[in-house]
Amino acid sequence: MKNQNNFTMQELTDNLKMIKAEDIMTREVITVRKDDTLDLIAKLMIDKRISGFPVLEDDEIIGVITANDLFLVMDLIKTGEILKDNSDSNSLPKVDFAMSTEVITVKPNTDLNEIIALMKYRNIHTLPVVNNNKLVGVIGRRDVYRNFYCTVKNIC
Amino acid sequence: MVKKHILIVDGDITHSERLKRNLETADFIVEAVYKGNDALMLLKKQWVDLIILSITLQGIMNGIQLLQELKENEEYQQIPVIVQSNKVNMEEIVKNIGATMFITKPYNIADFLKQVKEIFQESQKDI
Repeated sequence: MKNQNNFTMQELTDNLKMIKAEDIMTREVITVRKDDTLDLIAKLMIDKRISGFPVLEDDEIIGVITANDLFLVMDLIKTGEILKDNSDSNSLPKVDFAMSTEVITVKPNTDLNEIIALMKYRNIHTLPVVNNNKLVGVIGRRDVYRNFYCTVKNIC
Repeated sequence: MVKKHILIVDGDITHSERLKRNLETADFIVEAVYKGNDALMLLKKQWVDLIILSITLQGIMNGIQLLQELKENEEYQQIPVIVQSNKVNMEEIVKNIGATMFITKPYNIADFLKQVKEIFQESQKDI
């Protein structure tokens, strides 16, 4: 079966496999700490146009926080599950409240086909890239679909 | 003995499928959906004895919102709900809303199966 650009599906998969995490990752990674406040994270996401950050402690990734996590906390505040009427703004939850602690990472040589499957099937939005236990980059969904569609159109 | 029906609602398809296989091997009848709205649609058609719910789902509704809807609905509020999450600080919140149990991902599936069976044994005692 061929698509509009005359790829067979197998050729498309093969092309996606040639693109590696290190080719599409952001190398200048902005990381946050577990005791950073969520308003700071919201501001960082807006200013830097990034939808997720690795959370580091002693150079080790202990979590990932994404825009979805901020939405979850927003719902909890709106329904009064956290931050009751008499709470002060200092009690706004911190990163360690909202972050995911089950961190799934990829290696620099993980291919785009596998990254797409990981993001889709494990419902991941921000994927840290780790080499020898060291964080070397980060991949967001935006990086994935940008590279997928330029591969499909053969303009990468 | 009548087989128990379990509904898994989890945005992580890989985890959900693994859990479904293990529960089926343990002789439960299992349905798995990935979105909160799909769970509500399924519940309209079919009774379940237990819901295993993740906080992070696919689609618009998150697991906390679904838990709130379940516990506010007279028809569903008696169904025990186990909430699983990769967020470690949610136990108090989900138990306040009415969850039976909270478990942090990743977890040992064999231990989890024991806990599921214990929940059914407890509910048998209540009858």
